[in-house]
Amino acid sequence: MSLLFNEEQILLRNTVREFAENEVAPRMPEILKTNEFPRNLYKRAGELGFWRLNIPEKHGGFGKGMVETCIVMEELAKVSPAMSLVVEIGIVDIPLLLEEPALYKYLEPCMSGDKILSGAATDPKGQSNSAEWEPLAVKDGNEWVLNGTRLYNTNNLSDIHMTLGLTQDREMKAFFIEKGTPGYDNSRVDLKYGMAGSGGGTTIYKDCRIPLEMACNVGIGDSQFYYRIYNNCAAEALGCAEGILEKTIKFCKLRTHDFKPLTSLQVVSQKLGYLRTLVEVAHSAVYDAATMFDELCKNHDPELERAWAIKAESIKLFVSETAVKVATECIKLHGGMGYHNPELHHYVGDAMCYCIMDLSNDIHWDNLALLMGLTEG
Amino acid sequence: MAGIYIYSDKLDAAAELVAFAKSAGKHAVVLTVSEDAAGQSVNLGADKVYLLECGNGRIESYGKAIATLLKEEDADLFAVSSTVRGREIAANVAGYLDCAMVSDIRSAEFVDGKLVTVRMIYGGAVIQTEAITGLCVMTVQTGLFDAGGSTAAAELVKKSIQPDNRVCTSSTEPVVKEGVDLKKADRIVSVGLGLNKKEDIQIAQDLADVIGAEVGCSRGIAEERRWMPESRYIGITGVQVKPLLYLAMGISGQAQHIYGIKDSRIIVAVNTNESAPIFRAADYGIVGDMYEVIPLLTEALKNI
Amino acid sequence: MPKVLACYKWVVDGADVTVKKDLSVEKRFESKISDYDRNAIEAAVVAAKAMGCEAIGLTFGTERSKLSAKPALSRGLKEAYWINAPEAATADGKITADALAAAIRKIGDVSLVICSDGASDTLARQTAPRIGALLDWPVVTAVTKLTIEGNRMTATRKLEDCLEIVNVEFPVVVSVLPDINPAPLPGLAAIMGSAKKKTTEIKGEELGIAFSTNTEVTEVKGYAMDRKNILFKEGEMADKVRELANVLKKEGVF
Repeated sequence: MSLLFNEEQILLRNTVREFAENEVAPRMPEILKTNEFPRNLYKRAGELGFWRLNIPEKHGGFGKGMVETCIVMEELAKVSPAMSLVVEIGIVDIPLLLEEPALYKYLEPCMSGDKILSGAATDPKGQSNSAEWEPLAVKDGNEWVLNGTRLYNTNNLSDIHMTLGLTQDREMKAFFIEKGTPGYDNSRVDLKYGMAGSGGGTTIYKDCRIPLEMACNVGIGDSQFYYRIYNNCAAEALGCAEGILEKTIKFCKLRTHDFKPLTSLQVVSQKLGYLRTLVEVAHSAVYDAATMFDELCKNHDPELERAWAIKAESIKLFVSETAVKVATECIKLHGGMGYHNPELHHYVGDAMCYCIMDLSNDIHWDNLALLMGLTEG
Repeated sequence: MAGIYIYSDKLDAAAELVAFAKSAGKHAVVLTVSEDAAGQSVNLGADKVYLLECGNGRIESYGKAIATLLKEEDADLFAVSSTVRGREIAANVAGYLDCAMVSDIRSAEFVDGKLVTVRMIYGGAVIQTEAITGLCVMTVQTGLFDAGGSTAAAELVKKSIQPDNRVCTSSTEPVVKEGVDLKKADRIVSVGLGLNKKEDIQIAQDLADVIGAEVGCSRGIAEERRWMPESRYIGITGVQVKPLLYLAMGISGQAQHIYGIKDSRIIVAVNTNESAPIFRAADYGIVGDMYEVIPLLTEALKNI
Repeated sequence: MPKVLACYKWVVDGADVTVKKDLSVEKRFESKISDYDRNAIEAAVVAAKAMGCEAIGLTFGTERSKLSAKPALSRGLKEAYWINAPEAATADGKITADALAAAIRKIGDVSLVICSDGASDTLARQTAPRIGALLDWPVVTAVTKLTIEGNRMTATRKLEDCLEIVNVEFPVVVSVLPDINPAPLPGLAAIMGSAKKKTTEIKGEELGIAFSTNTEVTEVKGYAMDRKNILFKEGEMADKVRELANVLKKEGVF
């Protein structure tokens, strides 16, 4: 329970929760088995309006902020961290379609879930290592010619694919490629440790030609673009932890030992209590950060921005590590029943993703030290 | 005159309500709205049968008229069988009287001049006992009370009254019921969400064939997955059954399902989850996979 | 232009009702619109659209039922009314109907009232016929299909063994079965939109009703089945099953 939410946000939370429990949960066995995400769930996410949340009203969105975004992320992740991730990617990438007139035509189809927008941001040299990247795109007349490789494409079902890369002038841009464009191969699917169904394979660009207008600028280190994704990641990690913890508490209340529920054993109830404290505090931090971000969007105060940067790093680190800890302990409490059941143990692999996505946690420890003035850049 | 006034659009259930009234030591008056029904109600052991005559055979049109009658005759109670029509007329009469009403009671008795009833709420998880003073209305599921068997003749009185003709029936279409009436089944094999696919209902059917049982299901199978028709869904908003033997296979045993099976003589539960609530409601249980147990049970019972 | 009014109840979720070992009952706060009331709200929205008029909502509850307004509005209602009365906490079917009927009279200009067949907590199934009687309006229950033409309504009722098709002129009180239409999950647009719609409180004392009843609840406790609870645990599955078969034979259920 929290006093942070107004009535509308509570209604939003309850609605997303119901969607996740009634429409996503039953699909989990199939998603886990096939490592594929059902296209009609994209359509449902679009119908419900998840991808319109942050888009300005004049472009068909709701103009809502980080608090609402985190609510959607959290509730989806309780049931399916992979679904939450898939929705989050849309929330992060779709606004880029507003950057260039040529891209605008994809906005409505992507927001409605009719077209899927995927993204790839990792050069084999490392996502954060752009200093060592080779250029991806060379200008040729009125076209960009893309050659290179991107790891961890977010989706294999994509209709529009966005890839981050440097131009010859070492300018970072986002390039947009339509499905079926020659020289673009996104067929590979990796068997990831977690997040089954969310795709993630190597994409190869070989003399792939796209019109010049199908690209937009992306600022590196632009706190609005980058730091905001840490808040999203934290909200997802929060939901993941809450989801498995709730299942585990139910299990420990029913499962017996010597005719008494497991919760009657101090070691179990104290452990559950400890995990609850982590989640309780994580919840407050995520929404405190979200509130700060929404304020920052209205009032660009440098002091607030500094505080926000530290807060964002902190929650990314704390909540992702919390998710791993909670999921691991919870599977142990389930015993063999957890180890053998993909519908339970997927949370463990999913949680690990939060420590790696949006830059591995070690990079964040480094960045936090810098922000705290402990090291020099 | 004081007494229990009865309406049922199912005549065998009317006999149950008459028997209840007589065993409570009260006058029993059956209300009917057609010559046919009146004729059939005369030998149920009631004291009086009213034929409310007015050219409209639709019971729902008699709300105000019955309310007036009950007031005039200083009735103690209006008892109605809980059917679709029954529930409407009962509540409508209660509205015109602006009096108390208890629905789907599990038991009723007069104690110190008050009617004390027991009913279930929260989907069958909770029992509520109420004491009502003065004229009130109650509805009763058919089959709850015993019929008694009296054939004593009642006084038949025709009474002309003014019905409410605002709602007109333009037509009725009979509904062909799929399958058998589970309420009459002596043995039922029932499947729940432990079932993986629709085709697997066959293994339950195979078991049912060996023991002469019907196949039923939980709400999820009928209403969510739509793998069986709703006539086979057993629960508080489905069918309430009372077989000699009820086999719950892969059913978790939520309160609303238990409500539908609680009158079974023997309940057997099979579920992979030993903490499933169904086991608390069962006489016999096996913790295991229904896919393993059902074929074994089919074999075992073939040879018995 | 006469309105369509949907009655709905703000209830405790069944999962929030706990029966303890001693059979005492613990329940948390109301937190949702009763499941089948959502279908009734949708039916009202659909009917209002067909009639070219507005669908409004009405609920009877305590202070807490104010929280029901936005969820109800997000389901397509134009405006929500909520009756705020402490008596609602212990109200029976009589008091509930008295309050709702009085409010409907007060709101005025309603031609069609739609309720669900029954609430998920009590399933008493009294509300619609009672309201009809109190307003002296015709009643049609168990409706699975509604067609409206001008001032007349044709409804299909689902009875145990037949479908009855009836005609009636407005005003009328109707109760619908969930079969009438699904209750779609509101999208974010509808949720955001609910904040902009009007919510009106009607205080219990404004209704001029007595809030009295002759029913007294004397006991509330959990239901416990008295069963043998014998589990077959010994041996291989085939052995357990054989034991079960033998026991059933002894019980004489064949």
